[in-house]
Amino acid sequence: MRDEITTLLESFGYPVRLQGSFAPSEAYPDNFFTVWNNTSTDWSHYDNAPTGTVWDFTVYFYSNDPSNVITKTEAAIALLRQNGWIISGKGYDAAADDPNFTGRAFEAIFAEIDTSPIIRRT
Amino acid sequence: MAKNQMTLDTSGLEEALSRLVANVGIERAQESVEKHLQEVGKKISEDTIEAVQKSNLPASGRYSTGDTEEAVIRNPKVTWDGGSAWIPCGFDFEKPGAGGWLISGTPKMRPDAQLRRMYKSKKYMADRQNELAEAIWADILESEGL
Repeated sequence: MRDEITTLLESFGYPVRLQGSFAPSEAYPDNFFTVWNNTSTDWSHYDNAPTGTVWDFTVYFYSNDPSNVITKTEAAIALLRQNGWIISGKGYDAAADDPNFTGRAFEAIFAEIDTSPIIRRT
Repeated sequence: MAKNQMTLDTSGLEEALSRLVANVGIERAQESVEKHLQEVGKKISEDTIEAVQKSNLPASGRYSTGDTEEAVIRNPKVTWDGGSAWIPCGFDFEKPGAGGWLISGTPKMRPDAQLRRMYKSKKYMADRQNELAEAIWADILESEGL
């Protein structure tokens, strides 16, 4: 699901990176997303096999324009919700290493459910 | 209450507490509950302190300040609200250096895995709540001679 969420966020035209992947001396782009997969848990079980996966990500947006942080975060939340992601609230402030940048973050959950009528174990 | 603030409480244990009070009286029951809250709260503090040791942190701990360990809650006061009790645990986010950055990470520092497990997943606190429940039930059974 990392590929899926990355592709959706890339539609804003900003880089999407893994949280913590910037080198200490690496300069930030003016605007960028980072993501972190917190957990992936089984949706439920049938015949001792999982019937799907619940993915839990944290999405961060950073910008050197404070107003952009708010608007793009809200837009990202709206886009992900349109694509089946579950997000509660409008995010929260996230610290950036660079004092010229501000950030916001939110948790996004996706239930990847196997809808096959019969689930076979491999 | 600050975001990420963890609390340990007796929610869901109302029936157990009533039974304990009926068996040992309200004063002894309160002492028992407070003792167990403090014991489990201490484990949470110890787990947090261990997690913020520089050797256990990402980015060689450079985002951990000397205040980080100082911001861990120790010996919290038990608050009673009617028949329920709770304590704050983990970080005191009103203190400088509290490890909020360590939990969320930054673009140059990945989130700390141990702190994420404690603060963002449900399992860690669910396990602590179970420990609290088991301790209280052990007191109930002892008071009933079982």
